[in-house]
Amino acid sequence: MKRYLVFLMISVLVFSGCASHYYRKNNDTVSIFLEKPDASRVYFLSSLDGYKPQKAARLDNRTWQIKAPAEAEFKYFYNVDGAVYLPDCRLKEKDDFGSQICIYIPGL
Amino acid sequence: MAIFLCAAVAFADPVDEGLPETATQQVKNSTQQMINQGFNAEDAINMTRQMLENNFSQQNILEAHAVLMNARQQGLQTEPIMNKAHEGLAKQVQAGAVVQAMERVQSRYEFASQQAKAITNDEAKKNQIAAIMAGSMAAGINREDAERIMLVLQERTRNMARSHAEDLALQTLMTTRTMARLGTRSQAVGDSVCEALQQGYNAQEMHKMRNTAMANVRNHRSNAGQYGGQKSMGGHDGGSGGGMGGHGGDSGGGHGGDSGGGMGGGHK
Repeated sequence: MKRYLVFLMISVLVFSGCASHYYRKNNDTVSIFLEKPDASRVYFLSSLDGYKPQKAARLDNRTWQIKAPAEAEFKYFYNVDGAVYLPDCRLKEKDDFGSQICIYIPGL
Repeated sequence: MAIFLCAAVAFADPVDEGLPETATQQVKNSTQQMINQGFNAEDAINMTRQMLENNFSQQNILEAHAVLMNARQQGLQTEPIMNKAHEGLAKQVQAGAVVQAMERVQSRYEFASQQAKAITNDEAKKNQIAAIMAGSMAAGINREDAERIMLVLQERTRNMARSHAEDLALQTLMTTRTMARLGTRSQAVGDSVCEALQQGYNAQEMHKMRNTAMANVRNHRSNAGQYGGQKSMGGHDGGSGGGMGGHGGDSGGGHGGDSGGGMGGGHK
């Protein structure tokens, strides 16, 4: 029982502790939020436009926001202060460069 | 004079105009060859220009062009290969690695396209099936498991009307791709999907199986609900697939519990 509780607690921490990246859908737009308090510049790069850097808006001293079409599937990553940054996204695939890329699919 | 100027403007070479001075004649010729082959001029010039700006060698650029032109000659979709080039450029990956990545995408589409031919002759459907299968492979499904799924699919669809066969193939591969993207290992995905097909799942049930997999992810999010409302993309890399096997699609049993391996890490 004790072991089960420990496992449960670890699971809750693991599944929730990294929630620094999330989205909110509003009609045909999805707002994607990244919590990155130590960042000075955040760009969002996606397959929607051939990975052109889109400057993320700074909402407060830790949260960055980008808006994208909610009904399109796309791949994306961030550039934070000049370096590629992959958030803890749920859906990913290998990027063929030895790392991964996040995937947004409508409905998830 | 005015007529002469107008004529000069009208005959201005878009490749010469679009590429920087650093472009060699061979690079210009190769870009023109792409356009002659049917590539969108703006896309071809834009990609080549970005490569030059990122200090790709002439050799690298010609190789990248060759990958795209070969793919087109094979009747493969070239947009995903060009997208891979843009992704590599955006990530400032070394030129050689970008070309290799483009070759890997081309190879996946070549394989997937061959597999899709076994399901349908309809060009649009074939491309759709191939794209989804190539996406599954990018997400971690190996060729062996992809072939295994396609064999079972062929067996199931042998006596089906073509449209039903295409629907089942599409739904099956979309489920495969989603499970792989969620982090479930290739073999576990193959086992689950093949088992579902062997148990007689139809296209709708395959769709339901996929929705169940996604619902499991959303449930993980809700379980971590004290961290707030709509957060949905954060979380652990593993642990996606619980209960995606089993007939009925709701949650029970099956092979879905194996997950998480090999998807962690990344740039941080």
